[in-house]
Amino acid sequence: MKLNQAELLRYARHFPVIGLEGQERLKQASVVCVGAGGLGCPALQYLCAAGVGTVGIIDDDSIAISNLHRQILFTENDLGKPKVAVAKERLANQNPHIAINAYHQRLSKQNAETLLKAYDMVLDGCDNYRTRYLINDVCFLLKKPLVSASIFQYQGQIGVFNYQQGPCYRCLYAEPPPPELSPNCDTSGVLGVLPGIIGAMQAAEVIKLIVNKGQPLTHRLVQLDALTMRFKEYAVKKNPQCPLCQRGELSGELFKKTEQPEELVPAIDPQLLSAWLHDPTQRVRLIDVREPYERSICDIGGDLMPSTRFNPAELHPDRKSPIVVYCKMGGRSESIAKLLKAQGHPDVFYLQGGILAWIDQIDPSKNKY
Amino acid sequence: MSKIHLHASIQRFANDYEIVDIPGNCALNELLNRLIEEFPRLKPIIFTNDQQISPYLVIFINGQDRRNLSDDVIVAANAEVEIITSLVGG
Repeated sequence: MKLNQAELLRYARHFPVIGLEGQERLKQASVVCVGAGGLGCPALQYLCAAGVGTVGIIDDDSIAISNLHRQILFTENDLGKPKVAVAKERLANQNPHIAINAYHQRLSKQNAETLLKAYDMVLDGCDNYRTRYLINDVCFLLKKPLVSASIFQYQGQIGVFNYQQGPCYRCLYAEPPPPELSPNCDTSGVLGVLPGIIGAMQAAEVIKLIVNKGQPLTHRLVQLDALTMRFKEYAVKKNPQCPLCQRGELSGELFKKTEQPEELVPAIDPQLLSAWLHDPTQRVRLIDVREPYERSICDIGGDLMPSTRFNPAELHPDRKSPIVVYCKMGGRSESIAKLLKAQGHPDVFYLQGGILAWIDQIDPSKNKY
Repeated sequence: MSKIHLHASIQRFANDYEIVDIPGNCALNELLNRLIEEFPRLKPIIFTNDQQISPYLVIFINGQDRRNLSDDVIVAANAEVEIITSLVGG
């Protein structure tokens, strides 16, 4: 696909490294990015700046204030707006010579094949295992290369899967770890600049695949520790036991395996908890499973037992008292409540909406974060 | 001593150590059991109830995925062993 005059000027610094032909390949190429978050923002910026002709963005989320320390496409003026809409507007301003398709929806079993098949390759910047395995499985079915990356606190991982009959993501990671081992950025936090580094590396891998230059990151997993700024590389081979690409067991059951069905525990709303705490006849064991730094911002009492180090053996509850677990928004406390229930504690609840809901409904004098 | 590098997501079960020196020159499962003797909270992370290595852990011995090595491979006394898991954040 030939470049026009404006494009010849815009991409002039690219020609010495990837050639006119490489730039034309970029113009002809189409890439879809799943997730417009920490990884997606920088990856999309570089892909669009580089002149990838058609870029898709899939995300059902809206912009929150806590996104802004790492999701560098967004500003305070964008709070509450759909990420894909704002990203599309910014990226179109950055490069008006490309087509950008925004899909304000969550990737699901129902829409994944339709959404992904229109593109040459897929960039995974999602933040949950269900989507991560779904992307891999659909990429394998559609024979689409997958540039996958993920982050945790100071660490990032990146690899290219399903490329030229190479290993798939399940060859390396047959199953996701349990939730308590694999918190996402909301729970465990992340150094803001880390997804910038890893997302830019994803864009570099996509561009290399399109222009067919260098050694793609297939058969290898690279891990960065930003604290030591050391990269480690691991050899990845096709796994003869891979349930997807070797044993061909892809089915609804395989998808379900990533869902990790768990026992349900009841939520308690702030109003009822407040009533319990003010009732002298009601004994309640309150457990705060947030991190100490969160506790220092605000709390509603109870024992501090962070979910990241939670050891049920350290809990010596009076079994006659109900246990109420709370965290910031309810996610971590629900997991810990399920764990406690599974261990035989009969009366376990988690605070619905977490301490943020408590502040909204019961005590607005406390600081939010 | 074999050096066992623990992934960030599991270090909290080993008193926050990133690298642990464990006497090697033994089979991998034995090495992992020696690690668990030092840090018992790692047991349910490393092994399933039927003593299989957890399917979500990937273990490299001197850069080689243990799944590509024979089950009875001996981990040399000076081997570098890496235990990693997938990450989910994006």
